Amino acid sequence: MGRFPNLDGSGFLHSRLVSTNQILLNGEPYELTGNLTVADLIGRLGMKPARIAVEVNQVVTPKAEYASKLIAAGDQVEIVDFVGGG
Amino acid sequence: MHDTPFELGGRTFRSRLIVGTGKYRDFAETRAAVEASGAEIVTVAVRRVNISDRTKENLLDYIDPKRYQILPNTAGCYTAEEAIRTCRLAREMGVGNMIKLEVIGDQRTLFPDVAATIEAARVLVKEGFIVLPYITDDPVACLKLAEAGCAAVMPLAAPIGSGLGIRNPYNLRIIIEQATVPVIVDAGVGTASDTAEALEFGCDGILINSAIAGAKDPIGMATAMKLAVEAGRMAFLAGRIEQRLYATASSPLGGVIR
Repeated sequence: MGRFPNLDGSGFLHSRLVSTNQILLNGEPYELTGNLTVADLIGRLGMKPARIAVEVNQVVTPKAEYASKLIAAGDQVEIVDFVGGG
Repeated sequence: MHDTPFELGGRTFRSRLIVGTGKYRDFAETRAAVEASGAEIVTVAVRRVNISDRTKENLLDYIDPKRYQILPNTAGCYTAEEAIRTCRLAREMGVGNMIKLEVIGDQRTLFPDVAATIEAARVLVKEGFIVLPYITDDPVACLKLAEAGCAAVMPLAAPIGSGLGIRNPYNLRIIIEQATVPVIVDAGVGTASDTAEALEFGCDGILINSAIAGAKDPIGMATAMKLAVEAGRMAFLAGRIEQRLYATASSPLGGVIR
């Protein structure tokens, strides 16, 4: 991504995680169970891919890669949608 | 009266009014106000999904992206990096590549960080975004943003949500005079006369949220803003008379009975 390199999962992220099996999901610790893809995660959360966007370690995951993109312990995952704003 | 269509990022729009979707009571009121405004471009914000409560409705169930040009903003971003990440996420939502760039520099005034806005604009233009930047009413900053490849410049009339109206009409006139891209007044409008004034100066468009959403009757104010945009634009095209200090009689001077 050039000028804004990805976080490598080290450093400040780990300071918020208490177990080695956790990710940081929208800023909060979230427990992983086994190997999860982005598609698995949003399915487990009951979300529909159409109305959200996902970022893993500050890099957007294209919708076409949801089924293949694996989430690893220590990852910083952001899931966003649109809300009212000006 | 003949008017040229409002061109923005290679697209044309009939309405010169852009409206926001913040601060409404609910999505139904948002939709009703947007409809009353006649706007075709609608701003939205990008925020973290509530993980624990998935029962919430989605804004796009009320504002149809097939009918409206959705304009995601980067509100709340204080660095170029945050704003760029937000734009990349917004594009992944599949509503196109037009974005409202704002990089805030100060929490109290919500004035933009001009240097960071220009920096972010350069990166985003390179990535193929149609960038509409919120910026101070600073003619030089507006020139630099146009040079960076922004599709428009969006100088503020007054602080966001302040309702103070156009605080510096002279700067705004300079920005319009030297503009090579459309000028859209963004933020600070209080009521319909502020909107009409902006369009009378020759602004190409105007972006309004708080003045409509915060009005006692948002649907009524949305209608007033729509009419003000039309009246202001028509007055601009018609060409106002010169301002004079003394009177010039409008009735014939001769033939008065004595």
